[in-house]
Amino acid sequence: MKPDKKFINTILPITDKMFRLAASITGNKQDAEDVVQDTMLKVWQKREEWNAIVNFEGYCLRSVRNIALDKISLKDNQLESIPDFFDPPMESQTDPLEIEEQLEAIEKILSNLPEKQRTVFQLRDVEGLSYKEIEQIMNISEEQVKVNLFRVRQKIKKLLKS
Amino acid sequence: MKQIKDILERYWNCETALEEEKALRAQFLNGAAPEEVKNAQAAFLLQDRLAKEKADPTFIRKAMKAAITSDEQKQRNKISFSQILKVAASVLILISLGIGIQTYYRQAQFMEALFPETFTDPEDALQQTRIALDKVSSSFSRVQGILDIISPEQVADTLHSAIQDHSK
Repeated sequence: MKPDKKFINTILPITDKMFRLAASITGNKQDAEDVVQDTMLKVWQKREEWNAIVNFEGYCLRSVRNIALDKISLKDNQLESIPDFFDPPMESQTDPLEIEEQLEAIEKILSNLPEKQRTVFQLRDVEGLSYKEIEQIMNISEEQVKVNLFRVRQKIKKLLKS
Repeated sequence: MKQIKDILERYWNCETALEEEKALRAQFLNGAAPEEVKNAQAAFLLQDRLAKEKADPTFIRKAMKAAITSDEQKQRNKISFSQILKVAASVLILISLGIGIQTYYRQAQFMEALFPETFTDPEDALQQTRIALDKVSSSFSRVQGILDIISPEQVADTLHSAIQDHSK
């Protein structure tokens, strides 16, 4: 199969996933598109190595993450992580929040998380990847994947229970 | 009900498998989750909403095309650079030839100035050479005549005395 056809057939089904991951790391659509474009170029330029790649989706998502991290470090992104012990203040502990308000509150928590926690949440809870796949994409151990995911889920649980 | 509560608790603790999480999510999205655990619904709703976000298809098409054609642009840049090199090499060769030709003609002019040719006809040149040699030969003959009268030693003594007188 010609490289360009293979490229299209393989990468097209995962472009949305790539975009979502890039957006979760960079925090905005424009940067996410730039990251996806750069990733496609990088993957295309390394087409000689495609035959050696076992998990192409993982390879692409890993590239997305690396390029997105470079982008946010270049921009000196101000999405600094809030220390784990920080709890976002609630207006009232007794009044239940409407679903939309809850969704907004969760999104706000997510946007303030360290990149590793945001990415683990995105790959597991949004994209439904296994711990093994996440391990390979993020180049961290399965244990670290679980630790980061645990911290995210506990924050969300605490928010919703309050 | 107890089952879903247990699964939910294990979910928060990251103890569930992927399949269990998928089933849990489906129950909350279908509205099948019991009231007791309804407060967790927002978490799964958000996951579902985030999973449905898509990239702009027009952008994706452009980005893929840009990636695939990036090599062609590189090749075009390479070709034009090599063409520039070829042109530059040709110009250098021409300049070198020009300098070489100019140097040759200057040398020729220099030699011409040093040794101008006064005869165009070789016969004339030979005739004039014979006349010059005859003159030299007759001069030698007169000197020989003088030497027949005066010996070379006497000529040398006379010259030596003249030089001494002059230096005083």
